[in-house]
Amino acid sequence: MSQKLQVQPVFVNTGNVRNFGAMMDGLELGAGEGRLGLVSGRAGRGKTRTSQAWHANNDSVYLRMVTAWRTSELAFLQQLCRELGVARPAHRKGPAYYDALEQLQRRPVPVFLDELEKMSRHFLDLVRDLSDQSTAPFVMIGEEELASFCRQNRRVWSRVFEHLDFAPIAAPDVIVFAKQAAGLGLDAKGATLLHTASEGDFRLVKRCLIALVQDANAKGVDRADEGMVKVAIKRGLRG
Amino acid sequence: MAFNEESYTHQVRKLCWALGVDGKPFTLSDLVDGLMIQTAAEQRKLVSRLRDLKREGTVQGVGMSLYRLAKGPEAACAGEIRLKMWKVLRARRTVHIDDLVELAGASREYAKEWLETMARHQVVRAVAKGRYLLIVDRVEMPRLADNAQKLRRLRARQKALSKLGEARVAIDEAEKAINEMGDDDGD
Repeated sequence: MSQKLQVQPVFVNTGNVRNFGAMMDGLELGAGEGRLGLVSGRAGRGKTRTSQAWHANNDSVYLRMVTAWRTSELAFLQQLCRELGVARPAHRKGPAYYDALEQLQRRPVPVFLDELEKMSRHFLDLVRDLSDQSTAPFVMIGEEELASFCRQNRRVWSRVFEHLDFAPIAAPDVIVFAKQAAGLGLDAKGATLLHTASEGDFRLVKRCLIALVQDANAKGVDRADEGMVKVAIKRGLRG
Repeated sequence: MAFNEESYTHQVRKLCWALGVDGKPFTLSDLVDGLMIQTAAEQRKLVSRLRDLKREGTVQGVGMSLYRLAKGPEAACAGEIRLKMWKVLRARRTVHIDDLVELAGASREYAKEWLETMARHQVVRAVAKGRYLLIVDRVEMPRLADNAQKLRRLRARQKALSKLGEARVAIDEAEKAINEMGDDDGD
């Protein structure tokens, strides 16, 4: 092997990404009915990255919920207004709500609300109202507890068009990622080892791949065997 | 893509979009009529702007004074990737060059150059090697006038050179006239 391998930044079209795209298509087809999308799953499974990639390539609004809004629906509504193009949002909750609603009625773009589980539960009703009255799709993104929050609120749960549970990255995705990001060949056994050790956490798989690439470069090979994967797991996952 | 709505270039761009619907070609005369141009100087200005639009990939020349839209209005934006990078930057607040490569599809060089330009304009601040923090957050992408300034400087230089040429011709003519007058006096 003459050229050294390097881990390049690539966005891998994993099963989760494909399901996310399908969900967004579904929400679009149901436009005009005020649908909610729900994306949940453990940290490190690519929920945020997938939604940010979709947002970058499509007309949409992306809001990462901040803890300071927990007690202030007004601050949230004002930020939503700004994102929707209202230069000076109202300073009271009611008018700010109607500012946002008016903008969404004019331009019903998908709105992503990331880390929504940090908010109090009545935020779900606010989201439901906005989606119902504007017909714009709202995608709620958060960790596992968000799904149970939504289930407890029947009015919200019945409007959830699709609940997408971000699954751990699968072994075939690990093979594709190693090949696309670093040009490193990985057999099924090595990929399964890596997949099991990382518990499907994308960040950990990436960390491990960096260690694997360093090892491959040192040995001058472009395929990783089982032994190399075990060493990389030790270095990358267990510290 | 954020355009300067009030600029003359954008007026020409919008007219091109309107005239070139469904890939229809349009002539310089169509643009002259559409913009109600009456003087030769205005027409020269239009031709100059059309050259800019050709360079940015909005229109393409398909014959003598005949143009066509190169791409649809959305895709025609040379800054489409810039807009994607801006959206990623706003969503993440802190980005690494690799994030822009991965999520916005930019090349590493372009993402680096764009972030450095943003840092020069104090929109972002470098916090680590290749990592930048958004410090001025606004919905609209800031119009970084680096390229526009370069084009303005180029146009100003061309204008100055043309004036210099005219002045030289006038001086030559004046000298010639003075010489002729001198010869007449001698007679």
